[in-house]
Amino acid sequence: MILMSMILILLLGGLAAWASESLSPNAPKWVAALSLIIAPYPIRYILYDLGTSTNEGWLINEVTLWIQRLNITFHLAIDGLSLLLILLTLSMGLIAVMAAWKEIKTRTGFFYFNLLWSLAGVIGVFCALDLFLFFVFWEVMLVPMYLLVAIWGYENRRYAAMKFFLFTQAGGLLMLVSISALVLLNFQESGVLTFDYLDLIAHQLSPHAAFWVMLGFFIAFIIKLPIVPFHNWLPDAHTQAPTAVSVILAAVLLKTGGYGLIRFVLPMFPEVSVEFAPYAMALAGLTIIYGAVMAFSQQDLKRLIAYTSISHMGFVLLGCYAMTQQAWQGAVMQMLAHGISAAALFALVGAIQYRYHTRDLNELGGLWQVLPKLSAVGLFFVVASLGMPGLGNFVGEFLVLLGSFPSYPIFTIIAALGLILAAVYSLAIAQRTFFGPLKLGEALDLDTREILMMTSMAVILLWMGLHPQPLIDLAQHTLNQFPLGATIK
Amino acid sequence: MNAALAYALLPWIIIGSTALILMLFAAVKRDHLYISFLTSLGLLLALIVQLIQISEVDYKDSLVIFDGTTTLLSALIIFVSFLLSLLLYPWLESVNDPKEEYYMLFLLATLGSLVVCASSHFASFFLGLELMSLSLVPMVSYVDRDQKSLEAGIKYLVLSALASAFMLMAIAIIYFYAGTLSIDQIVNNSSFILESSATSGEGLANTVIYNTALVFLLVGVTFKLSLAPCHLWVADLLEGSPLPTAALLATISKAAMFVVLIRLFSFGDWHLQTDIVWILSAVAGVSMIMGNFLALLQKNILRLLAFSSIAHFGYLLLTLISMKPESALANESALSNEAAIYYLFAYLITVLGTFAVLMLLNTPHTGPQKPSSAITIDSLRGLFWNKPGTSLTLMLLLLSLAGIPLTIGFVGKFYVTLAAVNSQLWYLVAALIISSIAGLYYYLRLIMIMVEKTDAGESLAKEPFSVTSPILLTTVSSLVLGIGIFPGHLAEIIEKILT
Repeated sequence: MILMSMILILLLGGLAAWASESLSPNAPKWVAALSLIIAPYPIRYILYDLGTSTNEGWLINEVTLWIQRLNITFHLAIDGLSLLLILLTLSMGLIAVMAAWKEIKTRTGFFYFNLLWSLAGVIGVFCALDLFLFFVFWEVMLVPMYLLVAIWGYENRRYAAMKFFLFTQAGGLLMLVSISALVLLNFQESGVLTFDYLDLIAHQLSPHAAFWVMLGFFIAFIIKLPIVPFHNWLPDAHTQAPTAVSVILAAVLLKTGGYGLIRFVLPMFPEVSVEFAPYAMALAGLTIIYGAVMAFSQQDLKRLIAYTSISHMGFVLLGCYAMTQQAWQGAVMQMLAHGISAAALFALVGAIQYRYHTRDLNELGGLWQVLPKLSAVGLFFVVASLGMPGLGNFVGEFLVLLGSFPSYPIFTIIAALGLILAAVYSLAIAQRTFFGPLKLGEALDLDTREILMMTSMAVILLWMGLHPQPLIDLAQHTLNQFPLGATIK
Repeated sequence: MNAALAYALLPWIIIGSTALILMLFAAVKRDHLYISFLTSLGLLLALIVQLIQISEVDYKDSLVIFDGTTTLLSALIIFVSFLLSLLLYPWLESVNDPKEEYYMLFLLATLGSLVVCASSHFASFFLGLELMSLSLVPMVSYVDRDQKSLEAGIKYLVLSALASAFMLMAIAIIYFYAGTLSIDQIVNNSSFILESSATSGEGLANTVIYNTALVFLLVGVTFKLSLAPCHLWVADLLEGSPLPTAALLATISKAAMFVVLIRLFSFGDWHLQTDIVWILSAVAGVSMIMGNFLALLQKNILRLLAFSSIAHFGYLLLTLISMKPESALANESALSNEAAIYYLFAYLITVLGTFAVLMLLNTPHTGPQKPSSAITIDSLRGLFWNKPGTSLTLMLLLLSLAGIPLTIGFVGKFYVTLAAVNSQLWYLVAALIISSIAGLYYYLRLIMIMVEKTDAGESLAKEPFSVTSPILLTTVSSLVLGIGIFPGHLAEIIEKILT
């Protein structure tokens, strides 16, 4: 019941936040922050033991029967990889609450309710080991997210929210068909009706069937990641979403796609994945370049960062399908580092927009003169997103490229070109926002809340860049189960 | 009439005699409250009896059959009418015409659908069908202040008579070949036609005539279920008729007809007739796609629901088609049947809930009633901030119709997907996916309008406190969510009943 209680804390916290609005419009944010802080309490002993234990196998594994008729269980379990992503979710949730602190003034109760419920859904996705349960969480986290964009978003919020929901739902339905087929094929051969991941992973499908089943999962996950050509919901959703929601979207929601690839697609369909790898790698290369080029031509700062996210997520896909240990480690590192650096960049844009009510690059410029603290912090994260050694993003990208080169040199070279483009767009952000002549008026610099928020993210990134080994160790066990040595014939 | 039959028929007897008592009572003294109370009481009694019977009664003779499917769905139909009957009083109170007759027609329509539901013979089927349709005709145009309502009444009368005529013709031809009107014997008795089809000219002619009869029958069935291509009436009718009638049309009249279709498939072995399966596959695919795409641009909520119901019955048809055993991935023969009943259950509960919420929203506290055609999507604008409870329930119901997890609608859709994948109906699965996404668009559009911020909201008149609305809203949302989160019990009940 440990993991379930963690999810319950968030769900109940959401209800409490909604109810507390009647006391004061300020109460919900405190309730939300508090529930995010106490949410890790149930898994405290795992966190204590991190340094000492070997982290082998499942750290927590709980099974409760849910729907007897179809043998569906409420199976929640975490290993190192899930734990990392859950910690990322909770901490970025806290950042999101802080980012929304002053920005959200209307209907605060319902806002924090939706925020906490979508985070609960995401954590559910990272824990669920029953395919039906996974699907339920996968879909359920969308609804509050949709409401967040649709109610508190900017001008074009309805279009963006709808697009976001429809894209993900389309992928979700394909996944549902794949899950059904997988379960029924397993039933046909073994005579056991089960939705359990651990049972289904042991069963190998015939290559033909496996390919189609895998494709359903693959499309669902790359829509979420997102990978070209399924990417175009993301720039709209990011541009229209309020800052806190952009933070959650970039930091956590996109990672569910990468997590899905690592947890489900690769181990469940190892042989087909190896055969499919060149196509996936090609998509990844395309995404990296396309995202970077598109980023460079944006005028809207938020949209620009959204395209950089797409480009960075290309590295995750590249890492997943390189089929080497380093590349997988790199993909995990990239997910974590991007989660933090993109969240920070979106929070920064939010801070700029809060002050100047614009995020148009043509109107910004010279902010260093009036907002030195904000600009300095901004430069730090811009440089992080560029892949500066010593910061988390570098570790991720470097490991991915290192791991991919032996098996797929051409795609790796293309992807490496993306790093040059990353430097171009990153410096463009810095140049056009912080330097040059000042076009806007005076404004208050970062306050204590914002400094706290930014420095904590900066410290984590720095730590990830300088000493990534603990994180890699933690995720290592999950990656060890994968089909190794999938080299090119 | 023997005791077993009398016991099996008890719910019918109760509902029929309630209608008679109402008629006598109205002849002596017209008292709306009392009559409304009697109606609900009669239905409640019938519901209790039916629920007790669920696992007990197993009766079969040449005209009717009471097995698990019949009793379960009869109970569901009575439950739906019972809930609707509770809503009738406040709604009819604002109508100036005589009110008592509406209850009578309401009970008779329910009775008709129960008869259809239990029929195992074309004679009883037709009797029940006409009882249901003819009671619905006056109900459609009951409140004649609106031209649309009269138009809808005439439309329904003419078209449903036409559909009945088609079915009668079909029944006559089938009788000519099979020598029986019993549903379970038709295929056996007429199998010689199918076997000798290509051997001789005469055999070929027989096959053509026989298939024509089946197509005629399907025309009638698809009309009643408002499946493509016989769906054109449903939007006008739902828009034109008063809300409770629309609710009846969308729920129990379709449910009863669908039970007959289930029976034709499971008892009549229709899934072995490839022509029919082929025609129904086309009907299902077209209904799913067309229903949901036509619903995209509707401005009236009832028209939207009408088109969405076309799509939902397309999904339901999918479960029937998936009964063909030869290509099944896993040999779970009960799966398709179970899926059909579960989805029907989910559909009835959700649609009933939606209509109930719409009735709550559109029952005026003073003054004359709005016609159904005035219930536009725009009238929901900002509802969430004015009436959060009602609006949350409606949102939940819409999400259930869209098939989002943790609602009963999702479990239904999951079952349908499972059944369709099991039978490898890939084209229909593709249609299901495409139409679901289109469907999601308009359900989300409704939700979006509800959460839109409005300034006009605060000036809305404070409504008087009522007990029914919170009770109803909690019942509906707890059913939708409860079965959505814990679908196991219902699944087990259905599975037990089917085996």
